[in-house]
Amino acid sequence: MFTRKRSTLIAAVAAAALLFTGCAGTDDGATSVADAGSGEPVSGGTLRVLEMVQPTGFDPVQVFSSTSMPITYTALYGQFVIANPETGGYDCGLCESFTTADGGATWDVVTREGLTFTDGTPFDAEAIKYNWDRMKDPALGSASAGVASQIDHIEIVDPRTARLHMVVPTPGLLGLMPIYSLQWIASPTALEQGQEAFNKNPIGAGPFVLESWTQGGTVKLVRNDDYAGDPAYLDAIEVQGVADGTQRLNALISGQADIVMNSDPALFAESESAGYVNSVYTFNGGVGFMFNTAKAPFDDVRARQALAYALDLEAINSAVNKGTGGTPKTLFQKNSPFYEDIPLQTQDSEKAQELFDELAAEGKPVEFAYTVFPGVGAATFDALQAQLAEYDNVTVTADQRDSSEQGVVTTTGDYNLATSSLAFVDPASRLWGALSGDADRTNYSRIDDPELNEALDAAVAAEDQDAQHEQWTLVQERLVEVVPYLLFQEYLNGAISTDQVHGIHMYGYTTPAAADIWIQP
Amino acid sequence: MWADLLRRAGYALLVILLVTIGVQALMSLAPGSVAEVILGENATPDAVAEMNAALGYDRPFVVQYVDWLLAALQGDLGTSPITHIPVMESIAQRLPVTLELAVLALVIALAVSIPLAVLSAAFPNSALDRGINAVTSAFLSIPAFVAGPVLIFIFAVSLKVLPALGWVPIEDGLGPNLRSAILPAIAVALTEIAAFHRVLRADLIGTLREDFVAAARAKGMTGGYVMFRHAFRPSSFSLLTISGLSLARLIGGTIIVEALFVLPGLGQFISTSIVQRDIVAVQGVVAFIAVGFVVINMLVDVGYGAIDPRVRRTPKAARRTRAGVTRNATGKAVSA
Repeated sequence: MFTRKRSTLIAAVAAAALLFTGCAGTDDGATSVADAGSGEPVSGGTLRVLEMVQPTGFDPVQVFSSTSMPITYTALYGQFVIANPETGGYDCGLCESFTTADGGATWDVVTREGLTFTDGTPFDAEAIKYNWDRMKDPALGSASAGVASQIDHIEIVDPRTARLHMVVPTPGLLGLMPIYSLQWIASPTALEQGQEAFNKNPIGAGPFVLESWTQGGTVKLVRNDDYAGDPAYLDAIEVQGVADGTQRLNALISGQADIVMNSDPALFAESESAGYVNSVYTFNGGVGFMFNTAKAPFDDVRARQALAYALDLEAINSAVNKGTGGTPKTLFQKNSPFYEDIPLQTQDSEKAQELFDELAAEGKPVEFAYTVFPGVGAATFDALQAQLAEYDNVTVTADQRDSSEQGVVTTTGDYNLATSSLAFVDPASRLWGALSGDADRTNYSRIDDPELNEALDAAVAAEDQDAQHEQWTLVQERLVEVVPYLLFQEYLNGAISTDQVHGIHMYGYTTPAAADIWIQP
Repeated sequence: MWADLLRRAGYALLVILLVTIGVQALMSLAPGSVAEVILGENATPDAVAEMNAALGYDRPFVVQYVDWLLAALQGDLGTSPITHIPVMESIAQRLPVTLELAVLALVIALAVSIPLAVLSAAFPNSALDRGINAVTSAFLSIPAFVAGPVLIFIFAVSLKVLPALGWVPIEDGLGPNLRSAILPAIAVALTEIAAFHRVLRADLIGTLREDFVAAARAKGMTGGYVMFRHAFRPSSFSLLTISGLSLARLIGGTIIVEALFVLPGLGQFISTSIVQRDIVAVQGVVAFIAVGFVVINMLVDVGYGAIDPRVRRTPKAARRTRAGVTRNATGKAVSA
């Protein structure tokens, strides 16, 4: 049976709680949303998992995305902080507390009493400092270096307390933790052995330890009986990375896997018809066209608005995703406390043509390149070009790029229009980072609108949910006017499993967590 | 003979040098860099330049190549900047998978194609021969990236008798190992079956028309005896040649099948490394495959001597044999 369960229990998503409370320690370390199973958990068994990428190693600086290998990494490292869908805030997993008293200018991270890594060395403030300082080292090339660099320096207050002094006040830091590899804390002693040695014997403080790893093959993990949290239910986990979604589903159908990770809406539709259990989290925002607002022709808001009026975004999504998946209508999902029925786009072909003509008459015709990356880039371009062919005074060409160039294209702004993600759980972290003119490192559309900036700052600073709601509503209204993005596809994080697998809690990034999952014999 | 071997070794060395230079040139010309892959969304031009410098990719092409070559000659193919694992270690871990896949595919191809070729040659131009030709022609037109998904759909998804992906090492049991290897091996073997069948059929038909075969038949020998005792051996030169070349090619040519079936072999390693712009890994694997290719080629040449002692006499004779011509003691061509 298809049980597409969105985050029904979300009560509040962030900001005020982040400002003054941060997160408090919990022992159970579990949240409950989009659970594909029920009943009394049973211990034992080996879970066979197919994740979306193969590991190139286990060193936290090598981790690129926390949505692609959530089970492997939560197994090895546990969860440092855990997003709580019921409060909208964050609970501590392996930390005792993670708080700020000054609006994010400094953060105090307190580690658990007596917590050790699986090699017996202490998981303390020094270990936190070692890991996060290391992540900033340009020689190691961590994909999370940008986020780590928001920490100016780390002060050791006492053996268990590390104080983070931020470069600029960062009230949304906690929201960034589950997204980036800051959350994976490894044993400094093991890391000192070098990356080659570490990858053969990675040491964390998670509910599982590595038994073996065949490059390009299977990662075998066995339960860590000394885990600081509640012991994991499973005896062992076998993980393989399979990039091809169809092959992941084939393996599930042929009985080779118990659970496969997935973000492709077409595959969820296939698995539904095949009778498997879908556990899906739909992010706020989504994926869509990102304008370079600092470069002609889209430095003129009318050019962006013209495209917003011109394009049938559902048709583009249908072309890209074979008629499956949804197109975001509003910035927040309906179950978000900040949801407002403010349409992200209103199609009006007459207005679109008027704007195209107006710009052409001023000598600024809308001629631009769409940056095509491998994958669905070509299908997206084809759909875009076909729709714009219906209009005069607008021309789109393809700018074919290699997938490795995605980072450079966005950081240098060497594009007119590209596909990018504006997906988020907690608006105070990711949404602010993507849209605020002050967030220059992560604001890849380069939108810098005073009214939008003011509303974003006010929303993050607001202390109660009503005030936050008011400010996020202003953000949504302004977003429709300045159009830095046109979202055509919902962004999903999910798992497809047999009905024997339970404890699959999907909420935002880095889920499901390995320790929560159990198998019904 | 020694002079011939030295000459061949010289050619082999030249091939390896050209291949590795070509790979480095292609990887250098390709858009993107390993630094951009590693840095991801933090890939600012300055950070990329800094990392490329740290990895030594800002040095002149010739300096990079010579440094790599000198290290490679000492058995050091470098360490991947992505995985931080020595390339030689990665090759050693993955080679058994690719080798087993290639050998298994070759065995399947030979096991299927030889009986089919013998049947075709025994009844040339008959309905049976034409039927077999039609089937093998169909095999020839089915690339592995089509055969693979079809096999997966039939045997894994529909019948659920074989795995859709993954690899079980032989240490975990021969049965499970073969179960994981059989579908990818068949996917690879299909096109080889067609090629082997056509070559052996043509050679057998030619040999069966020779005078010595007619003489054997005139002595009252059975068709089967004549086929296997008299015709098969002199007809197998071309088959041996293309089998050897196929094995060498398959060691580096199972990329699509390994990627599709998620097999931890050299093909998957090289395809992943190309995507990640990991020039160290690509260079190392390609050099290794090139060495393997030329070595197997040389072994094939030496193998002629084992089958036909006349070939051992002169290199010229071997070349003539490779061209599909064998000669009797008087120098007359006896088969083509």
